[in-house]
Amino acid sequence: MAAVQFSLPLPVLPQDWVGEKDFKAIGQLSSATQRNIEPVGPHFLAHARRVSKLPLINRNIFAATNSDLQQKRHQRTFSEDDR
Amino acid sequence: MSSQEDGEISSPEITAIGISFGNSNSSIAYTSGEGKAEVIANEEGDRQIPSVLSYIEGEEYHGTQAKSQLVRNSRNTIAYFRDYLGKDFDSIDPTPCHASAHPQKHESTIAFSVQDKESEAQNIVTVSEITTRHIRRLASSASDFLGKSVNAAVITVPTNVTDEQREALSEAAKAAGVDVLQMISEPTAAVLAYDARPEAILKDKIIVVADLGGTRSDMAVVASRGGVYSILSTSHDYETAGVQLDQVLIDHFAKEFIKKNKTDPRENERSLAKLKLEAEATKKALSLGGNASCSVESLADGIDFSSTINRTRYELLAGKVFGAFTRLIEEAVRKADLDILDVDEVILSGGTSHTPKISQNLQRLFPPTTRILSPSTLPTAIDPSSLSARGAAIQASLVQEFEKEDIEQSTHPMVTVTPHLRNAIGVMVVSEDVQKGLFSALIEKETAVPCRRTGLFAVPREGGDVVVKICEGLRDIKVSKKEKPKTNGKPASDDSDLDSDEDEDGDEEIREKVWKIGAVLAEAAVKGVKKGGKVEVTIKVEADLAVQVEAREAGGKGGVRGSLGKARVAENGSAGSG
Ligand SMILES: Nc1ncnc2c1ncn2[C@@H]1O[C@H](COP(=O)(O)OP(=O)(O)OP(=O)(O)O)[C@@H](O)[C@H]1O
Ligand SMILES: [Mg+2]
Repeated sequence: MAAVQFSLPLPVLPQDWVGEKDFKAIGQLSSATQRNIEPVGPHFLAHARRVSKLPLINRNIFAATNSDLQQKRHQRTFSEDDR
Repeated sequence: MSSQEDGEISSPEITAIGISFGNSNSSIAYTSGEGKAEVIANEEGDRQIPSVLSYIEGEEYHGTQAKSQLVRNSRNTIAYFRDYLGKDFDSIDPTPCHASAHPQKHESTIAFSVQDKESEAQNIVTVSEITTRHIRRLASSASDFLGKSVNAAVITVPTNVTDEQREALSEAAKAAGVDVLQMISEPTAAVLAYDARPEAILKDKIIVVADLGGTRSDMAVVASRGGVYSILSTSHDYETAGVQLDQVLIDHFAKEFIKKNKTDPRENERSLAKLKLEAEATKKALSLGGNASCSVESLADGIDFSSTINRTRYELLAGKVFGAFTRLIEEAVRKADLDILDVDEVILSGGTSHTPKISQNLQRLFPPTTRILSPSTLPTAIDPSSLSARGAAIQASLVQEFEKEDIEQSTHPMVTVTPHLRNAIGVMVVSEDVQKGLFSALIEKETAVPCRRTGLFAVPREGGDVVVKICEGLRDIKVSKKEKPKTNGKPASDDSDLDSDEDEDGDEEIREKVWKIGAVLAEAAVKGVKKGGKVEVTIKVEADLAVQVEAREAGGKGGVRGSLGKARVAENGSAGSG
């Protein structure tokens, strides 16, 4: 997905801030919920290709109709590491 | 009828279509060479083909022709059978078949007794067999249109379909020469139909799919994240659908008829069947125009009936049913543990979704920022009756070149069951109130992992050293009271709806979505950002829930990288496909 723009600024780095190599790990992600994703649509196929052995079929139905911008987007989305 | 034979060795060319198979209507669709989903009209020109078959002297009628036989030949007309497929007789509700061939117990299955041959004999036709005949007719219409034999399909099914029902549907289709490549859920098909449009923008959003049909209404709340769909809640209602709206008009016209003629047309089977067909047509006309007529030749006692009704009157009479639709949608949102304010889109699907009043009520229920996708609220909305079939056609074109095994393997829970984020992940920014930080969500909750999102953040005016503080965010609903102004510009009659939930003389509540800061995950320092520069932050959550963070000045080299340890995967989400 395209980068989202945020207009409000990031805070100034406090004078006394310390972190190894400018990074500081603090907490942990909350536990996740197991859910089913729907096995439908081109983006799911990209997911399935990474997880299972689904072969890559070089055909993108969306690209045929969609505008140039969308074409690029979906082709990128079809690349293996988008999500 | 199909030239394909089971067990053929050389794999034949696959011609796949999308099929939506409802209790009331079915639709067939294909994906054109340009990748556009198109609904196919059958020989009669219908795109919504009634799921009805009727037999007269051995001849089979299908669709609209068969439906009109509900008046003269109801006992040899089979309708509303989809939900019986793969079910036990003891578990079904036979009510929808009241005015057509009755379902009966037959061995371990359900069947209809009809005179479907030239002879006078009553034959047992199982629900599987009638489904096969129906699908054969659909496939044949599609084959005629496409000029080649259709031998495969993606078929849509409700979210509460059982494994037995899937199995039965797959076998019934196979017997009709149609290989079911995949069954996909109806709401997901509707979402896909919209997402496949050229103008669609890939965005994370919460979608309510309200599928309002003839004999049932099905709700699904769907999280759409980077084009991947997860169903958060589903609900089903068999008492609030199109037939209840037909009934409102049947009762209205029957009363009018009684007033003049002292006979109740509802008491005679054939009169009722006639009135029902006409009332449905009147109802559909009221979705388009402000007035509609209803005329039935020889309705009862040989007396013709003719009347008109305007939309306002209809909306008043059907107010209760309309209110019930609104409540179904509200409940579905609640069941997904969400608030009305969390919903970005409502997709109205199914024939009943043509009704303007239903979408108008939803416009009042949801904030103005929620898009209500229906013909009367959005000029570019897709015909709600066709959404399922279109989505199925798109999916068919996506999977038809895969081996069946590959499709099966990729739809296996090993692939589809995935951890979803419990909370949003985002970055703190400075708000107007300098003391208070503000959370900006980069990855929304209910996003399946692995996932990755990038944001571009502004820096203080002079640039310099900034801190990227990554946190979890919890959505909260802030409620404040606002004194209601005495005059609100609206005429009083506009407030007469039964489903109005505003407290007449209480203070108006203002509800808004705000973020509460959850766990702080990490901080990264980006130093020496130039004046007017931007900071690019990428957060990536791996399949094992490890988190990677990358922050750097946009266009700059290097940058800061770091990672967090894995989180736990907890219990299953409530919804699934149950
Ligand atoms: N233009 C319209 N305005 C209002 N109602 C309509 C319109 N078109 C169709 N309907 C109604 O929609 C209902 C059928 O919806 P749909 O075709 O989605 O049903 P289905 O999914 O096959 O049915 P079921 O819910 O019985 O499984 C019928 O009650 C029909 O009268
Ligand atoms: Mg339906």
